[in-house]
Amino acid sequence: MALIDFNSEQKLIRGEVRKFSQTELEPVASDIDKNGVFPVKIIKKLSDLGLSSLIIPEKFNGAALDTTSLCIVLEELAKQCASISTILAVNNCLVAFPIMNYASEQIKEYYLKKLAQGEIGAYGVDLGIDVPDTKISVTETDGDCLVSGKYDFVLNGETAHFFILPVSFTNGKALYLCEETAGIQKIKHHILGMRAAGIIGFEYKDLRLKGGKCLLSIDKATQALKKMQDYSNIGFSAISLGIAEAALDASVKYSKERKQFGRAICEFPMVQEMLVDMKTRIEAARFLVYDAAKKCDKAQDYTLSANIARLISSEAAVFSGTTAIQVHGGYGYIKDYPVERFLRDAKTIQVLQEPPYELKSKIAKELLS
Amino acid sequence: MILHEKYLKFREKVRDFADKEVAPRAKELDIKGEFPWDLIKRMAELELLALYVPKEYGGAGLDVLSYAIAVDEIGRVCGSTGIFLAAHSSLGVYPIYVAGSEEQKQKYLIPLARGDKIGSFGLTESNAGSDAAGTQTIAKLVGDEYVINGSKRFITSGEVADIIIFTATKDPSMGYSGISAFIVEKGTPGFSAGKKEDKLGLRGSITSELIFEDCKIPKENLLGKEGEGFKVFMATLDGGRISIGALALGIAQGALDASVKFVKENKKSGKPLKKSQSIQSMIAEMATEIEAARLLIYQAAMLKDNDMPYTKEAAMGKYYASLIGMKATDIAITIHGMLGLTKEYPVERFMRDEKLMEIGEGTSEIQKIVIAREILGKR
Repeated sequence: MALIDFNSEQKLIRGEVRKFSQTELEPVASDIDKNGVFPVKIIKKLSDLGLSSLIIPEKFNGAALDTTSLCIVLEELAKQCASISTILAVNNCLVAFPIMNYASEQIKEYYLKKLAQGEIGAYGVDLGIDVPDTKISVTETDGDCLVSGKYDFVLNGETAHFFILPVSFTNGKALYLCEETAGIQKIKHHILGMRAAGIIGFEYKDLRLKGGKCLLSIDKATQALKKMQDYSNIGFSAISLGIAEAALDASVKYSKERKQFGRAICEFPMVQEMLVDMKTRIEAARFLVYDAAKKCDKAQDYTLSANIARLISSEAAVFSGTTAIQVHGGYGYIKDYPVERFLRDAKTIQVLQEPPYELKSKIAKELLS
Repeated sequence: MILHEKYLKFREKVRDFADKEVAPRAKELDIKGEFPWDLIKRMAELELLALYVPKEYGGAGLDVLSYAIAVDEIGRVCGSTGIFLAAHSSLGVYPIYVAGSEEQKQKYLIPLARGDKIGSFGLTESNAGSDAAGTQTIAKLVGDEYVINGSKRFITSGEVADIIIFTATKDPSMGYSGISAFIVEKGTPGFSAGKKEDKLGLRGSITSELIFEDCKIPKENLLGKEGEGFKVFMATLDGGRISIGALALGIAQGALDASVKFVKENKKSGKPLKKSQSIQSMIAEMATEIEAARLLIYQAAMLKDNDMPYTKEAAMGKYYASLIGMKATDIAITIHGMLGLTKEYPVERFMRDEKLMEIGEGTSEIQKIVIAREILGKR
């Protein structure tokens, strides 16, 4: 049996998403990157196809896919447009996942159905960097919460309908679910990659967030946040994998077309070596990504696998991005070709939330425990 | 590395200019895609534009090592300004300095060296990149004039240059031996700048297409002898590699400096970042590789200053500095985490700028071929 053995349903989803990516995303990916505009219409289309609320159970109108299928969808979308893939990864892994696993039935009923209708949820990244003005304080009054402070990065923040926000207190972290009200100052970033993924900053001052709910209190949140990160790392690893493959595909195509010294450059061993170095890393990453997903689907412990998968596939993506530019030479450096975007997106997804050295420290912890 | 005091003093002078005048402009040059006219004027005043050219020809009368130091220091704060300096000095000034007749030197070298005119070098074409001898631009001698037809691509400062050295062939089937080098002035009928490239990095530098349509240039604008264009551009690129290597090095140094600052100023989960062994390991790797690259580049410059062969060393310097430079700028973003993705920090710009150093003036693959040829012999 092959190591990666998709069942017929998974193959069907792959075919469907691949077709969607090629017809709907490929023509617009470069433009939405340039303009940095959150692709509302495309998300709507994906939602209409039942491809936005991927892991949400059927009883909340979701697609109820397993994690392997989630990775298939994210990988296929990322091959054409990593921004869109990231939006869905955040919506599923960092918004739907904690609600599904930790919220009350009432909250599930309300928010998961919203997500299934195509609404966007956002997630505030707790950088853990102690820059003085990022301290966030929350006080609860009558079920609402009063927030002061700043989140440098809110994933999906630009057009989200509600937010999952981890908040650091001196004695630990808690997780809040808030709906947007007026008065949030949104800080638009001009970031390296994932420029259409709506990653923005938030600034609050004594802001009353209506319906602000403590999803997880301090004693429970720490463990849950770890789980969320592990789970999202599987999703992010699939995105890196998709970007790496796109970079390789573009390089194979270009190296066959481009002629120098009287022959196609793919005939030169140095160029072949670059293609091979990309391919071998991608194949290794693919096994790790789908191994982690399979462990999750079989309800096995996936912490180690998820972090290894993300580490290796994110390295494969950055490597493939820069190597693809190299194969393209001067043409790789300009925006007429997509490969410079692949490098920017690959580097962006690599440091999203947990940069490689933090993954390494988590892997070491698992290894030594 | 050990440098004579006169170089240390010179470095202080350039560093002061880079920190006080170039660094504050770098971010907006990148974001707005603005060409640094103001900084070019200042570099001319400071005599930085032709450091190794004798004073009688408008240069600073210094040497190649000083030039490498200057590009290193300016690259440390701004890749776009650095690439202008490198392209102007190595590709605009140098070919005329090394291959020009006395008349050409008087007419073109002096204003270029003084910075009154901007220089550029047209070698690459759409279908002649690494294969520079595959040039399709045709030069036909008709009476006392050459008639030029064809186009050039990816030409640094192409659109803004006043004086452009370019290559063209008598007959594409002749390969290297058909190629000659010429000088064309901006405004010559039949010569124009075409498309301006939208690039990943070096966005404050202009990269253009150059178009020749029955462009007539006087016979005396032939640079060097007819059929010796290959020699001119090989010599130009040998020297150019020192400057691109120095720029790769400078950008890497900038990434290290920014990382050191970030690590010293910030804490993660209450713990100073500089106390993290993972961070220390990354900083140590970057710093070691940058130091090694600097030794290679400065050595190549000193060889050139001593009229010794430097082809291999220049290629090694460029290859190695751009390789470790990509690694250093990549790690710098990792150290900054998500903050490194924003324009609030210079590191994402450094990575975008650095990538060109593995491509321009001979890709890393071409450098490896040059190095291997020097080691294994030409045949």
